[in-house]
Amino acid sequence: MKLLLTTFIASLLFSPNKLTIEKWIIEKNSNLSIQGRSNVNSFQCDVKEYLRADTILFYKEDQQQQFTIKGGLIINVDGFDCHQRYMTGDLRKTLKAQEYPQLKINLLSIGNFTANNKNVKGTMAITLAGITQRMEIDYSVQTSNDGNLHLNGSRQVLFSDFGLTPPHKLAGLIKVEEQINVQFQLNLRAFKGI
Amino acid sequence: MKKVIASVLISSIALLVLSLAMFYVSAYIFPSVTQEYLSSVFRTSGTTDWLYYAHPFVLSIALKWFWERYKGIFKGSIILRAAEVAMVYCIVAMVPVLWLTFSAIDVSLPMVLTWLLYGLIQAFVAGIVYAKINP
Repeated sequence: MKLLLTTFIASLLFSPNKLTIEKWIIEKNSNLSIQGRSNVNSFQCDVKEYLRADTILFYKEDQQQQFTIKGGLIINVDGFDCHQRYMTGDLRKTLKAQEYPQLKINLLSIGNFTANNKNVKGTMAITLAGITQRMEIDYSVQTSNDGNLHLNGSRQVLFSDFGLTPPHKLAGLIKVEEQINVQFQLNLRAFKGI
Repeated sequence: MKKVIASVLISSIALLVLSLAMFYVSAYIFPSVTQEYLSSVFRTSGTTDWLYYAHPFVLSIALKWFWERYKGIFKGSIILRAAEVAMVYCIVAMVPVLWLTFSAIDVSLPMVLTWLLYGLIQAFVAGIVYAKINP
């Protein structure tokens, strides 16, 4: 047993792959929006301010691998604003806001982005209305002069992915389409604390 | 009696087609007003859908009764008589009901005005059918 433990610790200490850990803070000006269509018009619902100062950790073992991410966002479903009072209320009802008030996004991984390779793929787990779906996301990564990181991502999802039914009213004459586009911009600031 | 049933049936079918056509026209002309039907004050489609499709029949029967009782006071051409029936229907029935609806239910004024317009057009078309078949 002692030998096994010693071998394990030694393998960590003398591992040929260097483990890089970066800690980032999600800025409150990060935002998320949902774009959808009904058979009569389009709509967009936004969460303009992300008020929780959560942190996320990026892990990478060597220069070639993608980053593994630990952390994510928790968004209040009641924070969505569809810019039309009736749509806002209806979206919250459709997303079962009373029963499941939070939308959780766990970032899982992101491709190795560089100055030359800004468009990368990543994965995340989205929990909505009590159902978690692991999804691949297309990211565009930008770095600003102050060293902050801007992750722009988008993904087409179906209401049915989360066991939800898109609204349909007036004897089915008006209905929202199954597919919606989820877009987000995460503004990340490097954590400089201990 | 045959004429009464025939006119009610013709009017009902005409109003049903018209109400669907008016929905799609208003969706094209006023998409943001039509999108308001997604508001949570409206029922989600389901077991009561048939009530929507039955409303032209209810309206036709009601207007037929009104026509038979008061057609003597509407004079002039078919168009004029139909227009007068539509005006009376709007003033006596639609305006008070929509006034109450607007005061009690969270719907916008443009939406209420589209309902007034629907009612006016529906009563006008029913009036034409009745003035033609049962003058």
